[in-house]
Amino acid sequence: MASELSPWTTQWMSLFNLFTTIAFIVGAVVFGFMIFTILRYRYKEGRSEPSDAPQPGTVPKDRGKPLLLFALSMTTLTIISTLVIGTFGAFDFLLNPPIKAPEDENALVIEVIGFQWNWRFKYPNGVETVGELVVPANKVIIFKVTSIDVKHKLGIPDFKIGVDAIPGYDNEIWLQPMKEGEYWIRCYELCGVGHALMAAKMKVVSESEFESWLESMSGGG
Amino acid sequence: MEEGFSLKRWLTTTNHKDIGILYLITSIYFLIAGGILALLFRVQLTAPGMDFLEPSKFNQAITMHGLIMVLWVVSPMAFAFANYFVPIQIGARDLAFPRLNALSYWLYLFSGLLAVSSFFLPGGAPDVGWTVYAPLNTAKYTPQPGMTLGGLALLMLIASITIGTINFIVTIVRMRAPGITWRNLPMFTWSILLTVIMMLFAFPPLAVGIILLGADRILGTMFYTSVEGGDLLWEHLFWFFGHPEVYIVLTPALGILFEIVPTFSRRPLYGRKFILGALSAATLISFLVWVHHMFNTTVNPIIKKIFSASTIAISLPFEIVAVYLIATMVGGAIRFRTPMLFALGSITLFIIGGFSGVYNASIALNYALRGTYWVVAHFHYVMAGTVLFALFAGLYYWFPKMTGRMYSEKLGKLHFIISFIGFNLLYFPMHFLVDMPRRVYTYPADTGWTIFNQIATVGSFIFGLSTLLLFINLGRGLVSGPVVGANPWKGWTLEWTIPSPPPAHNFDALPDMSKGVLMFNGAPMPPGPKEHHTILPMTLSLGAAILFLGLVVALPLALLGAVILAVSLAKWFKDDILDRFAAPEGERGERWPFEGVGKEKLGTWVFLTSEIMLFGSLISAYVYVRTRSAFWPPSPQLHDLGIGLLNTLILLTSSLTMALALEAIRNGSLKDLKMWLTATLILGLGFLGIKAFEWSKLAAEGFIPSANLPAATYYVLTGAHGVHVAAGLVAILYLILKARAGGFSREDHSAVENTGLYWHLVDIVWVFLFPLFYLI
Repeated sequence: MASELSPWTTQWMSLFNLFTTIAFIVGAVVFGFMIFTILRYRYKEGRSEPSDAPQPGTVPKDRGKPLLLFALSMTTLTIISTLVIGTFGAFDFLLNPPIKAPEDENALVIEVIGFQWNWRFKYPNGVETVGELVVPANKVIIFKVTSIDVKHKLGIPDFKIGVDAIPGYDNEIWLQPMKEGEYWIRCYELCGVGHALMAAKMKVVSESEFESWLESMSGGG
Repeated sequence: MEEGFSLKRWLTTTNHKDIGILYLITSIYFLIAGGILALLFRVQLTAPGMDFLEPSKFNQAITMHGLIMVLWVVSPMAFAFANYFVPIQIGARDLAFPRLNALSYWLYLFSGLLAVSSFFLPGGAPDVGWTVYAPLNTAKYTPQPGMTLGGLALLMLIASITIGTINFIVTIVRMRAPGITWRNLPMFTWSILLTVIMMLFAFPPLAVGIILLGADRILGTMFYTSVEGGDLLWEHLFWFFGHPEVYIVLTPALGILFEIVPTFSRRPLYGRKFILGALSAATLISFLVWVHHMFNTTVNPIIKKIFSASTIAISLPFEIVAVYLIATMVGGAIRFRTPMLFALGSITLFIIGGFSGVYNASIALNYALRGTYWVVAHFHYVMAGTVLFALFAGLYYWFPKMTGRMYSEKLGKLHFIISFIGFNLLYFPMHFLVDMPRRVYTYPADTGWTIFNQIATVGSFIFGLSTLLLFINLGRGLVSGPVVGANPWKGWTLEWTIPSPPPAHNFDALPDMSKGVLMFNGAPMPPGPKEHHTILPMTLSLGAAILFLGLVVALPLALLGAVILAVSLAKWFKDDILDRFAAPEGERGERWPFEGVGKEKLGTWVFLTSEIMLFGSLISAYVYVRTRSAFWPPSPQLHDLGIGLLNTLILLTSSLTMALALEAIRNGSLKDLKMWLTATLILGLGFLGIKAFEWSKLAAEGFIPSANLPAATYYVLTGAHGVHVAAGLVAILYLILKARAGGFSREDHSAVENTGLYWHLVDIVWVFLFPLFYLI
């Protein structure tokens, strides 16, 4: 797909659509059943009480056949399996970045450090930025996310990706942005009074633009 | 309500129906408080860049809104109904321990007031979100005393809940009238039983989380500031409580639906046994899904997968519940009275909230959903929608029973329509805010979030103000509503067979349902206690509240609180020694599987279960930080094995003397009883004395709680154990006093036996602590 933001975003979207499709189908069946029942069996003038209607001080009869339980469980288990398989597929995709080794030349490892209240980005050559992340398009970016104070969550909403920033831990996540442009990075975990303003920009640029940017940054430092 | 409406009555009552009313009014008070907080922050979110609440105030509002609603509103409102109707539904006169029930209530009230009062301390209330994540919750980042006070208030609430749990389990197991077998037990009572079982296991880990937080904030330990503990330690403890908590809130609401839907559709509940099976399964699975709140953390991927699957799978039992509720109506003659409308609304919101929950359960989708308004939409559909609508349904359903008067059906229907529209306007748009972070006090204008926030704010006011219709309706009904008979809805459960409102003693004679139909075979109700009124549960809770407030704001106040607490406790003991509140259990129905266990003993067992959870969580926290520490000196380097061995010997000997005390009174010898109890007391004091010596020696060497994690775990775990030893000594002192007054005999000595059980457990805990701190 030429217009895709990143392979993961495509995966996420199709999984979300799978969940939504199933939710609509199941919802239509269940709500259909509910509305039908309510309309069909509403009390009308002259309608007599069912013979097993609850009576004061009388234990109601047990009813309900195992058949419904069986049918319901089988259908639900099928749906659950579909959802779990879809979920595991997407999760495995996320666990296995398409690179041979961490030092693969097609990968760019960026350390992300959350602090109250912004993000610091460290490039392999020592360049550091705050509040602005510049990455090359089409390359696998590996984020090593941590925090130096409280818990944060790094989220890049357009790409449908995010991961916790926990003091003392490197939390890894990867992204392969395909489309040049500017995107928001936000904090998705309450981290104090500045939480709402803890946002950074992610700029996806062409490989050559990125190289010259990185050079200007390291030269300037 | 033959006793009239005096203030004294309400302060001293131990009657389950009075306490139910108190719970109801108090939970409505907190509902209004939590609701107003919500309206405040909805105003702030109406447009980007609003300046209505400053960031810190905003954070306080969302935090206290969450804590109040989850802990001080939805569960207590359900327990208002449980207090009022569980004893009636099982044909009992009252709960098993009426005074403890009053104590539960007063601890609940004062804990809530304590939490709310944190707004008035310098720096304000807790402002870290209701999930109180570490290390934001520590003194470095959240220095205000309100945060500490909030933690202490929560501990007080946990005490209230634990006492309530014991009371309801013993009541439902042992106080059922003949013929109220497990099979005949009404579904609402069943749901309360499942709820309290979850409470029993879920709340101790939270207590431990808060105890460790308190140690960090007050003693300067590093459970949550260190990497070894930190965020993950808090999250494991919090969510082990936090996820079952969702079902703790949900299950009583479902119980109300199981009563209302059959009654108004005039058909027995469909698949009752399967529903019970499904709910029991959900109760169990609820303890096996907590890591789904931690999908974005560094937890191992395999574990994440297992928890993702278990969480998606928990939708099955709840789907069965929803479908069976609908199936119940098939073939009925459904009457759309207000309770039924709210019940149907509750089911509708339950299905929607269930769907959005499955998305969250998917570990892959969760990467983008966690921390967004999608999650807010989801849990409000369940916790605010399903639960609150069911509670309102219950309120309308039981209002005529509790007051003897009917509300206006027209106003009730209006309330339903407006609140249902308001609710969906409020929360449905949040599904479209899937990119908007939770808990932000403002947001940029260029995100497209404004319109959905505005609809939500309009919805919040409609939903919030619609509640006024409820209050007006019930208020008018109470004063001038038409008088109703015993059974306006033709329900089957026992509360509908007695007058509205029910007499103080509920039943004139012992109900018998052995034939499946209510009969009175002439057997009298078992007698109640001689006394029904005591101020002590109130003063005891007040003392605890003043003590906690004093610990945070001014120590002299704490002293005052401690004195009130001690005097109340002493007077309580005196009442017990004089047997003023004792009541024989009398002949009842089925008590399986605890036939041979008296109610005090069963209560003790339930209490000990919560104690085991407490120490289990403490020891787990210890193992967690120790295994994560790169360096941890072996225990023999830190602690004097000789002292440890001596104390172990003393404590084990005290178990022996305690057993001999029980043996003595079984043989009828008060003299030997007193002797062995005194020996136990002396040994216990010896243990504490040696402990104090050991602590002071270690502290002098610089081994203080804030020194490092080995020190922190040592002081907190042995300290918690020491507090339990001290509490045991107080109980033993009480036994000695009662023995001196001749209060025990060969036949009647359950207090000795139960204190003994507790004492042995405390000793067993030491048997686990000893190797952890002295050997390995």
